[in-house]
Amino acid sequence: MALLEVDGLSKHFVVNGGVVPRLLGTRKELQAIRNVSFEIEAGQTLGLVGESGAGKSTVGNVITRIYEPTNGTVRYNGANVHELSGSDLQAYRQSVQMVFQDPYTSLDPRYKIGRTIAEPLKIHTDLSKAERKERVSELLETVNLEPEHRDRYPHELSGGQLQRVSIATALALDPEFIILDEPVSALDVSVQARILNLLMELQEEYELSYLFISHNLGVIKHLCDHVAVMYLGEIVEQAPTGELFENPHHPYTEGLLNSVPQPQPGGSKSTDGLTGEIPSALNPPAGCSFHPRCSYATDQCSVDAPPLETLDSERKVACHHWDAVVADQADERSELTHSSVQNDGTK
Amino acid sequence: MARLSVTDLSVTYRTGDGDLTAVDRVTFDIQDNEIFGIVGESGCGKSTLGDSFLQLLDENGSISGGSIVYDGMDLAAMTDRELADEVRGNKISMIFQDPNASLDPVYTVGQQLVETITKHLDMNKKAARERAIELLDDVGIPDPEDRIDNYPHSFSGGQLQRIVIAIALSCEPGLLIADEPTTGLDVSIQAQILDLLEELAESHETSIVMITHDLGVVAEICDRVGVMYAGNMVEIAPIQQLFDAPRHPYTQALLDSIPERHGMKEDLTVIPGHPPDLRQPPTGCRYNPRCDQVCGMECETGDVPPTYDVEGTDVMCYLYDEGVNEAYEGPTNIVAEPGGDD
Repeated sequence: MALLEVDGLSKHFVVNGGVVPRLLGTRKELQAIRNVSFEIEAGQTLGLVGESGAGKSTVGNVITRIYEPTNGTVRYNGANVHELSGSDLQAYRQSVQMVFQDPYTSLDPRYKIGRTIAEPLKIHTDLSKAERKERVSELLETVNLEPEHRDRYPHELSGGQLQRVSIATALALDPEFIILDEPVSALDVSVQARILNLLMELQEEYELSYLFISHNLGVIKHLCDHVAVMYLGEIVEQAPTGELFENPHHPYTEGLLNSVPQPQPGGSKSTDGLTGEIPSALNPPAGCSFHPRCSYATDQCSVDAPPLETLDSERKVACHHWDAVVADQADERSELTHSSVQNDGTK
Repeated sequence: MARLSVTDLSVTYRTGDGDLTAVDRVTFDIQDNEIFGIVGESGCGKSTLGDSFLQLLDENGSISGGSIVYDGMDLAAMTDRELADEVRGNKISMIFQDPNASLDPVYTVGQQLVETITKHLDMNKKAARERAIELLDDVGIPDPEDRIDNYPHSFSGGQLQRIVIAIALSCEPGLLIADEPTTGLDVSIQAQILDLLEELAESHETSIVMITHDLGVVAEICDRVGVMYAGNMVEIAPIQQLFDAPRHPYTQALLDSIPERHGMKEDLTVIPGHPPDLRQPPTGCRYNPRCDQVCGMECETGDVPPTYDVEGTDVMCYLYDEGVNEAYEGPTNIVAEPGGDD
């Protein structure tokens, strides 16, 4: 059994609510996530990737019960998360933690670092003050901060150090599962490298499972075992990381991978990136929601929404024409190998 | 030919705790029709450098030395008034990260384009409007005849950045300074904007200074690149050479910290320590406290290193000096001593 099972999850928000719009019939529903399903095994990392407005963060927020789902279930160790109450709920809240993008806003500027880290211990455990202090020191050491950081305020620390404090706070209650929502997006690359190394170390040491939400494909590729690609609230493709990056089956995944500027000049130029922009989630296109931007789209695509099909052991894709996408890539690859043989393969 | 020549440029901010030299004796050229990248991490001085070209520095900042020569004029010596009349928006224009902050929300995009065009070019309003429609079409805004009368709020972030680019290029400037122009955008939109900039630079014969923290963006569109660390430009190289044979230990470490250059789940290279406080920069090379290749006393004492030419790369590092680094077998080509004041 997987540690976390998300099944058919949907979350709709009412925009323009209130009495008057209801009477006038101008009330609208925004479908932030639609029929999302995935599983995370213990000790594994699932990457959730997509552009802004894809619904990535909403998924994380439903799992942590910040939002109630409109439809579908989230099961953690087999139990429906949204039906938990009392001590079971408290246990769930200890076991599942979250780290956000911007440590400047997720830490209270008036609390010293030590107090921030000790707060979950105060709420969830019956440790004495001295024991809490000791645990805070341990946690600071775990995330490679100095004991004297305990008495500093957030404004005295750099962005990278603050993100470590967020991670220490998340670790305070010995969680099993951490949702990382863009944890390195606000950081410089050299600082990002340290945080990524730390996250990998912690995962190994404490056997943590991660849901890693990011728009940064390079980071996702580095850290995740499996990747789910979201577009306009739906998962369009899911596969083990290596396979997804080497052999994308969904045209959106392919376009997204082609759009990323590679830190290696002269590489593949982004000639076949994505055209157009993401449509509004208030008014998603009929049929496959990607069809207006898709070069493989046919008439069928504007009518029938493709289901998320399970292809082989672990790959799922929601596209009527994935076989054409794969065939095109095979053609391109054979051309590439052909030309690199001619160029004497000086890679 | 060099379109812009920056020589020994320093920019200093006055702060409550003493002076801070954010840009320290930086020297480089930008050639005709070249896209030149300036890359570095937060606080390295790259935006200050970009702002100094048009003297758009904050109140407490000023150019404290050196020259910026464009088209025979020394921009560093010009008054604000002269710059506003003759250079800004006309010969050199600038785009920033957040297009929402660059456009005025209470004017239509057409009014903002027409204003720029009529100020700098000898055109009446009607002709300017036609030109504005053409420009919007050039940057890929659909139905420009209709959209020209819309306000900024009715466009998406990517479209707004296109409009900002249209305004920046409306007077055919010789140089466009782009400060993190794609940082707030999604990757698919970023790729479109980068393509657009590259295309327009070529068709309008504009040189671009691309200021960014993203080495991927640099690799994608720049011809040459300068790497900044703690106010110094520590390495300048043609793009391929920078990625294939980085010379400065900082550049090497920076490239090694990118996940894409490592295998999956492999440990990433980490640069120890923090960038220095520029109010009290370290003596010698400013990178020496974090450097894993310190090669002599010179690294830690005296002024910053001279600039050496190593097979076409300009690098500020004693590793390429036979007199300091015994392991280096030369040749030693000093192209510039740390000149200027002190």
